[in-house]
Amino acid sequence: MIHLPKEETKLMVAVHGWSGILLGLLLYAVVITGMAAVFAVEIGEWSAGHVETRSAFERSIDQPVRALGASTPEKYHEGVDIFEIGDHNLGVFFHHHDLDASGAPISRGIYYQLDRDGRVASAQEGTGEEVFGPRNDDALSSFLVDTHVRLHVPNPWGLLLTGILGLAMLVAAISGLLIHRHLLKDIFTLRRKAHPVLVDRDRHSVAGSWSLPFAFILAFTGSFFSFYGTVGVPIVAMSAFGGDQQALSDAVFGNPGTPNPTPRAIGNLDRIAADAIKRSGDAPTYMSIENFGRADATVTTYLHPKAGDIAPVTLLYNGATAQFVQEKPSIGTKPSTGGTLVAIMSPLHFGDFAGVFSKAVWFGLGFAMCYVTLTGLRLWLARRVERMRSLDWLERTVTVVGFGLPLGLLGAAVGFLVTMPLGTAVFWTPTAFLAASAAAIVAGIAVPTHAMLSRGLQIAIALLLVALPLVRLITGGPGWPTALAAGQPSIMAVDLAMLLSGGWLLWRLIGQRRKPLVPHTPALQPAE
Amino acid sequence: MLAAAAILFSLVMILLLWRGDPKRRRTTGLRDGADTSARRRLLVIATLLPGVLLAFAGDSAAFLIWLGSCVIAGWLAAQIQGPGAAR
Amino acid sequence: MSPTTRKWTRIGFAGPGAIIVAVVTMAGMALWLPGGAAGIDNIVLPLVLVPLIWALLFFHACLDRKLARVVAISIGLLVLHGGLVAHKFLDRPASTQEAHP
Repeated sequence: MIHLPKEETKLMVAVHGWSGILLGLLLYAVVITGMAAVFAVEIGEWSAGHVETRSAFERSIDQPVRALGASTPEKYHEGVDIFEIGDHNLGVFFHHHDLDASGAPISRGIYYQLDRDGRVASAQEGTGEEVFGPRNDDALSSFLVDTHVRLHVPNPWGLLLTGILGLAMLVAAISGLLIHRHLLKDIFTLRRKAHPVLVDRDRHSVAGSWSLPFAFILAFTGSFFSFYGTVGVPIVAMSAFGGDQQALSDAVFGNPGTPNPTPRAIGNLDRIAADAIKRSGDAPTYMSIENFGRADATVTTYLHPKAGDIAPVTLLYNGATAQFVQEKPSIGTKPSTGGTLVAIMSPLHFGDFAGVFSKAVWFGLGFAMCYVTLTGLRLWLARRVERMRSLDWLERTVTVVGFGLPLGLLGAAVGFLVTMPLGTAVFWTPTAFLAASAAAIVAGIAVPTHAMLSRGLQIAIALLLVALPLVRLITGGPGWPTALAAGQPSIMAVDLAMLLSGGWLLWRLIGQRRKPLVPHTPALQPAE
Repeated sequence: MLAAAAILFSLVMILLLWRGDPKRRRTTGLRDGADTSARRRLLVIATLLPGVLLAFAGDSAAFLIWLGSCVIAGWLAAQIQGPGAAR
Repeated sequence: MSPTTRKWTRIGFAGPGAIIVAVVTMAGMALWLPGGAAGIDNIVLPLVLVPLIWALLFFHACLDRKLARVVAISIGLLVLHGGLVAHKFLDRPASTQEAHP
């Protein structure tokens, strides 16, 4: 498609290949957990057997929040965040804004977790970083998301790492486009009876070519998320606000108005929630109160996007009177280019703007990205393994990581299902992941041939997929009739997805016969 | 729904593009039956048209779902083995 | 310039150079971009665009045949935006300042 001169093409091939091989395995971990995390909410509902379908905002929140306000120190009334936790229960974080030792803005306060009867199940005091950790019933989805966002490396290093991986993916996508001279001509060609290098090359370039626009979008938005808080905001705040990150945050997110510290009870939050539901047709996903208990209190509700849009809807209310003030953009006080750009970063990355339809597409795209990453690694190896036996270990490593990671994630799911009823899921979910991964590594060392290793790991994945719905039932999860009666489709849907994909994989591996490869003289393009 | 119809239409166009793809047919031993360049250009335009219409209608959600569906469909279509001597 | 020097110059500008110039450009852009309808464009646009700026600098350093041009553009951007930031600091050392009212 783009014909670069020979020297430049060779350089781009080197850039593409080396960024891929050095960071490919880590990038694969980020991409595969990202793919699974698209359905984090559904996986959470499936794994914890959540059958409540009404949003917490459709039940009374005013009474509980008012009662919590009365028993919370006034210094923490600067901001109140209200959101859903667990099985559509209420989480409330009373906090004030503070600066940590390095001058970065943090929130410090008390985080209340309520049970389904509105009673306080837990109250923890501390910073946002400290109090928002995985719970027993969301340990699996938390594990997935945390692996994806920072590979379990502590902040800010974990975020910087995934940010760099995002940039590597961006470089790989752009250099891939520059290398491939006949991108459109080759886009349907998958040679099967050919030299392994050509077979891998076709697999990699067909998947990569089709998914190119999304590789670009996901890499770009992903690295934005990793870098904006760790590097971007401190630096822009330094340049534009003399280092005052809170001032930057107020400029971008704040609601300007004349301060009025006169004490005044907060308006009826149920009225606000009902009004938001009426205006948008859907329950809020988040509610944020500024200056709780003061005359200048404001309440902002965040809702799913309107049909056809991808950015969330944000409604602003007068906190003291509970009157609707205006619909405002998510970022900034008026619609703007910058505000819109930031507001679409999330929907573009998560694919959650149109419920299950967009999520299904994003899941498929995530799968394509995993495929591109793995086939790229295999291609790099296939070109070299024939003349360098010493790379056998790398070939095995790619297979162990490639299949071991999904095996580990499925192992984590088993660990979660077994230990959630015992209340120890937060520890056992990552531990089960490590155990399953260790098993894959041991197989990588012990199994005699690479072909047997690859096949064995895939069979293990297929077996676990098929077994998981059964494990879920045995450990006390709701059956399909119960879930359907409660109007909760996720449980049956995830069960079915696992049974079908596991079954198909088993059929492919065991049912079909392998065809012998006919070696040809490879006709490689100059770009190889 | 309009968006669903748009997506379905593009998917059919992608299948037609797959069927007549010259290089694919060459590598699977099908001597003739490949599309002419004029027909390919027409099919590509037909494939992209629903997306352009969705974008102009301001339906960014549908546009993104359309784009993603086309990507997945194209990739899946390429997996189809189809009739041919060298399998 | 010997081929080895040229190669390392290019690697320098594509590697650490691109990162430094991208970050300094991001900081400096906050000072000259217009605020836009909500007065925040100059803050958020550099934040959003910095991965793209880095990628552009990286690929330019790799692909532009004229190494002199690569050096000129990178150093030019660095000096311009670094200068803007330094000027802001030297002019008004007090802590809280808004870039655009």
